[in-house]
Formats: sequence, structure tokens, C-alpha cells
Amino acid sequence: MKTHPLIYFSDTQLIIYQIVDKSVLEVQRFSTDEQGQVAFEKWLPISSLQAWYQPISIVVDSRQEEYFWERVPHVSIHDRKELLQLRCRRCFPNTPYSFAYIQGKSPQLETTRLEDQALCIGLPQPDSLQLFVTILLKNKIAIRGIYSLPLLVESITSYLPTARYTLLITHTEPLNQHQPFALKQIFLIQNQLILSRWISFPQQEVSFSTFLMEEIHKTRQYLLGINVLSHEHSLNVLIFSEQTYLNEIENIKKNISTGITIQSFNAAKWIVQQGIRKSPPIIYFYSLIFQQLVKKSPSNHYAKPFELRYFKYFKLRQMLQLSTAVILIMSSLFAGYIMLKSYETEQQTQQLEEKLANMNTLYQQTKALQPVDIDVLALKDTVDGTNWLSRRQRFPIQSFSIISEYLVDFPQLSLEKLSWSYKEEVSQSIGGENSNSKIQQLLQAKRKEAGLDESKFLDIVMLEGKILPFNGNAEQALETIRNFEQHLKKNKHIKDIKELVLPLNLSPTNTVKGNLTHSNTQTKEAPFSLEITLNIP
Amino acid sequence: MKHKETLKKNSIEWQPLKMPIFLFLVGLMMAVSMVFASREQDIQSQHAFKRTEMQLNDLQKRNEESQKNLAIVKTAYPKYEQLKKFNFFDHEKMSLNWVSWLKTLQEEIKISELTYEFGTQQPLVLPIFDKKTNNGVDFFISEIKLTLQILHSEDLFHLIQGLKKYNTLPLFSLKSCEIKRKYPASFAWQQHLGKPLLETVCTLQWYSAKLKPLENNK
Repeated sequence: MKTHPLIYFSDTQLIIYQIVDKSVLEVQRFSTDEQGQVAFEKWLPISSLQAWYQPISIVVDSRQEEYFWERVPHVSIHDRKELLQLRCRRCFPNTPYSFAYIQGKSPQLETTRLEDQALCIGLPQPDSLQLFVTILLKNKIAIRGIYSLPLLVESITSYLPTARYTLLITHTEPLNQHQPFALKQIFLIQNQLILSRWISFPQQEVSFSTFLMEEIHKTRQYLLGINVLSHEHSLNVLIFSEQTYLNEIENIKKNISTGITIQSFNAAKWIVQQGIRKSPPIIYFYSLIFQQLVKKSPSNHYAKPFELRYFKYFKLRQMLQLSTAVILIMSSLFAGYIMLKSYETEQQTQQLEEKLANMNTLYQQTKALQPVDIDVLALKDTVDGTNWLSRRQRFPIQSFSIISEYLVDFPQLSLEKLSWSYKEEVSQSIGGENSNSKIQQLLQAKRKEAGLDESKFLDIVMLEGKILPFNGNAEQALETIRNFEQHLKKNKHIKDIKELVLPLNLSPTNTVKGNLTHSNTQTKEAPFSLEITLNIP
Repeated sequence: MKHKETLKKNSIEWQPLKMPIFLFLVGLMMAVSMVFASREQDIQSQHAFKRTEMQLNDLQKRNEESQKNLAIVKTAYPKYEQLKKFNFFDHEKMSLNWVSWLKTLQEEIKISELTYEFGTQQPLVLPIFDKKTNNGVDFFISEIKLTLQILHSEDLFHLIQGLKKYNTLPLFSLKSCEIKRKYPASFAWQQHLGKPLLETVCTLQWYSAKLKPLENNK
């Protein structure tokens, strides 16, 4: 658990607290005089402050703190800083510890120009604080900031009852042993600090309640005097005290004058309700402020840049450490992601390699089955070629048989010569002669590739012979031949019959002579020759 | 003011920053090294993967081709062996086969006279092969002119059937055939028993092939 160190700096005392989670514990107490400074200087190197590795916050609760509540011209944000610095220098010319900020728009618009309400606070006598700060810096202790305690009250207003004018009264560290009882009054308008008062209570002279009422009236009168409070408005007084004084306070509530409302709280119980587990006595209310300061880290009030140098180093160290951690984590994650990807790729590669090995075995096995004496292409070509040649095999037997069947019925036809041959009739390509389209060419190429023959074979049989007996009857001979042709044509395989030679062998180019008186002696023989075309599949 | 001046003299104190800066630089170097090393590893894995993938694709293609070839071999090789057995790739031996078959058939069919005349071997371009393609085999065609003196036409048919029987691979074909009566129709064949009555001239075509030199196996 982180331990946050904090210095409470009053006019007479410097108290070191450590804030651990929701507990505020006192570590060491020093006086602000020379003796205290020496003791602090000696104690610091042996203290555990540096071991906590945390910057220290200094909370100033001083009687000398002054408040200037005034209006400033409304300027842009860029110029506002400069304007506030000028106001601070004017209000506090001799101290480095001053602070100004804009609380909001001014409620009174006397001129047409817009004005803002600013609060300037400062420590006119900074020497004591400066000396302690120097000691801290000498020991290279990082100072987070120097804060005004009354101003820090603004950060806890959400815990308080809401009211327009609030006067907060709480016990504070005593000034010295002779004056062991002190009060702090903090006046807020709409939860914004206007001023603060430190009051020492002379215990021997008057009762607490009487003293308290007097101080409340004094403060009210002062506020009315400086026009921050009007008679029309009630002053809401919040008293944080110990149980012993609360009964007295309850009594004075009955006799309270108009314009004042009092609410009292048991400070010890109240801070427990707000979540503080442990707190040193007297400063119960401050414990909540300290805890909120550590938690919220508000902007610095008094510390100058050179006083924050070790805090800047601290932040830089933190930033470097954080950057180192972030870089290492990011790079580790990125590298891890890439390594994971790489691992997945390696796994995939391994799977592929296994597949490759299996396939290689299969390939080698397949390759081993292939013949060594012939190339596969040559083998394919050989088989395709021989198949193609086989399909073109032609023989005369079938054609001769068909013709023989018919010749049996025509014994007059005496054959002298029988010849057979075949011709190849290339079938017309699909789509006619002009089939140049790519699809048709592709189809033909596919048919060719598949070994489908485009050719058609026709058997040609030549019959040469004579009509026997002839007896000179050419007409009968011709009729016999024509009858034979007609019979033959009945066969489905007969495609065509050409008469090459007929008994008279008439033709338009030859002349024919005859003697009708001796008709029987005109011709001794009746030759014939037929060319028969058969379509044998 | 003295307080401020003494502190201002030391502008930057490096001492408290040394270790964080050192650690930051070491961390940065480690981070860069880690990223670089992992990236390098990833690139190498990617390369190895791509290389293996390419090898696998290449082998896959070769294997597919090999499978196709094997399918071809399975169907075609028995026929090739048969062709080889019939001396389809050896023209000389094939010619001797033809002579032997003819002689046997002449005796079987009792053909009184059979003469043969082998023609020259001519290259045969099969239209099924693209001329541009480098085929693995060259085909050739040869002709045999057979002159037979036969008693009747069935003898020719028996001869053809016989040739078909011997040449179980139908790698021959008849180009033409002519049967001529040797004597006039009035010839008294009964008085000349056993004398051939017909003269037949047939032209037979047979095919052979020559394998081109074997290419280096893939």
C-alpha cells in the first residue's frame, strides 16, 4: 500500500504525517524555530521519507496568510495567467509564496465591462517556510506542491451541508504550550474561499461557547463591513468540535441572533462517516482535507518551479519507468502475437511438410509403376494411333457376300472380273463449309482428340461380265441387268450403282449401226460392267 | 532569494534520472530486439511456409500428371506390350512375320500359287495428331501385293480370315482386290480338277511404327 508523506506547516510547528489509504498518522513534529530546523535537518536523512519513494505535499496553515478578494477585468485565458501574476505581485510584492485564481464572474456589474472575481492569497513572511523547503530540497526530496490549507477546504465542500454563506469553524493545532487551544474560521461563499481566521482561545477567561459566539459575531461584522455578506442573508456556521464542547454549543443555539444558523458536528465521528479510519486528535477535520489532497492531487498553490524540480524528476522518472514498462509490455505482447502467428505458421508448415512427404511417397510409388522402356506420351500416341488405324480396317468379304446373294438369282450374269476397292468420303464438318466459329472448331478438335473418325468409308465393287446365254437379245440382256440392279438396290447397304458398260453400250458420243434383216447376227456377246457403291459400316 | 539562486545554479541533475533513462534505453532496446527477432522469426516461418507450399503445389501437379500417366499406362501398356510382341516397332521382323503367315496360310488353304511383293515403307501422318505436336512415335505404312492362283473365291476369303487370325491386332487392311476368271465361262473345269480357275491380285496395307528416343523421365 502506498504511503504518502505530508507536511503540515503552521507558524510554530512542522508536523509530518503519513497518509496510508484512509488513515492519517503523525510521524514527527518539529518547531519552526532554529532548533526545530536543525532537528529537522538531522532527522531528514535518517527518516523513512525517501524510502517511501513518494513526493511530499506541504500544507500551510498560517496566521500570516492574507486574502484579497477583488474583481479583475474579464480577459482571455491566455492573458488571465499574466493578469493574476500581476495582481499577486501587487498584493504580495515581497514574497514568492502567493497565489491567485478566478472564482467566477463578479456578481456586481457596475460597469458595462465584464469582470471576474479573483482571490489572491499569500504568505508575507516566507522565510521560515523557505528554510524548511531548502532543507527538503537539499535532501533531494520531491515536493509535490505547497498548498494553502483554507484553499484546500474547497475540495471537500461536497461533504458539507450546502449553503450560500458558510463559516466553517474547526479546531486547529495550538500555537504553543501556553496557548494550547486554537480555532480556525474559514469563510466560503458558494463553496469558494473568501478568507480564513486563526483564533487563539484564552481558556481561563471565558467559557468556550461565549468565546465562540463572540468570534462568530466578530467575523460576521467583519464580513458585513467588507461587503461580502449582506444583512438579508443568513450566515451558515458549521462547527466541527469535540463532544465535550458540543453540549455547550447546543445551549448557545437557543439564544442565537438572527442572520446566523449554527450546525455542530462531532468532528471525530463525522470524519469516520466520511470514510477516514484513523486520525490524530484535534485535527480531525484536516485529516479529510489531507486525504483528499493525496487522492485528488490539486494544482500547486505556492511552490515555485525550482522548488518542484525534484517532483518533476520524480514525474519524469515515473514517466520513464511507465514508458519502459509500457514499451516492454507492448513489445512483449506484439512479439508474443507475432511469435504465436509464427508458431501457427510453423505448425501449418509442418502439416504441409507431412503432406509433402506423403505425397512424395505416393509420387515415387506412382512413378515407379510407370514403364521405363517407353515414354507415356509415346505410349499414348502409339495406342491412339493404332486404335485409329484399327477403325480404318477394310475387307471385301461383306461386300462380296451381299452381291453374291443377289447374283444367285441371276445365273445369266456370268462374271469375268470382280474387283474391290474403297474410297474415303470425308463427312462435312458440323455447320457446313463455313464452320469457322470457335465453338465448331473446338468441337471438331475434341472429336479429333477423342479419336472419333470424321471419315466414312464406301466400298466400290466392280462387276465385269457377260450375259449368257445372250442369243442376240440385247433387250432381254438389258432387262436382266436392270432387274439385277433393282434387286440389288433393295439392300440397304447399296448406295449407288453405275452402269459402265451395257450390252449395246450406247452413249451420246458413239454411233450405233444395225441390220434389221439379220438381227441375230448383230452382236455375238453382251458384256456389262457395273460399279456398285456400298455403304458398309 | 539566496535560496532560489543556490538551487538555480544546478540546472539539471542527472543523477536521479540516470537509472530510469538507462532502464528506459535498455527496455527500448529489448523491446526493439524482441519485436525485430519475432518479426524475423515470423518472416522466416512465412518463407518456409511459402516454400513448402510451392513445393507441395509443384509436387501435387507432378503427382496429378503422374496419376494421369499411370491411368494411361494401365490402359495402354498391355496393348503396347502386345504390339511389341507382334514386332510392331520392328519393321524387319514384321515383314518376316507376314511372309511366315502367308506361307502357313498357303499351305493351310492349299493355294496353288501365291506370290508377294513388298512395297517400300512410307511415313504415315495420322490426322488425329497435330502436326506441330512432337509425337512420341512415327507411324509407317507398307504395302504387300499378293497374287494368288485360286480355285474359287472362298480361298481368298479364307486367306483374309487367316491373316486376321494371325494378326490379332488388326493393324492391316486391304486396299484393293481383284478376282479374274482365268478361263472363259465355257471352260470345262470338270476335266481339269484342281486347276486354279481364278487369279486374284490383292494389295494389302500394313502398319509399323518407330519410337522416338526416350526423353528423360520427369
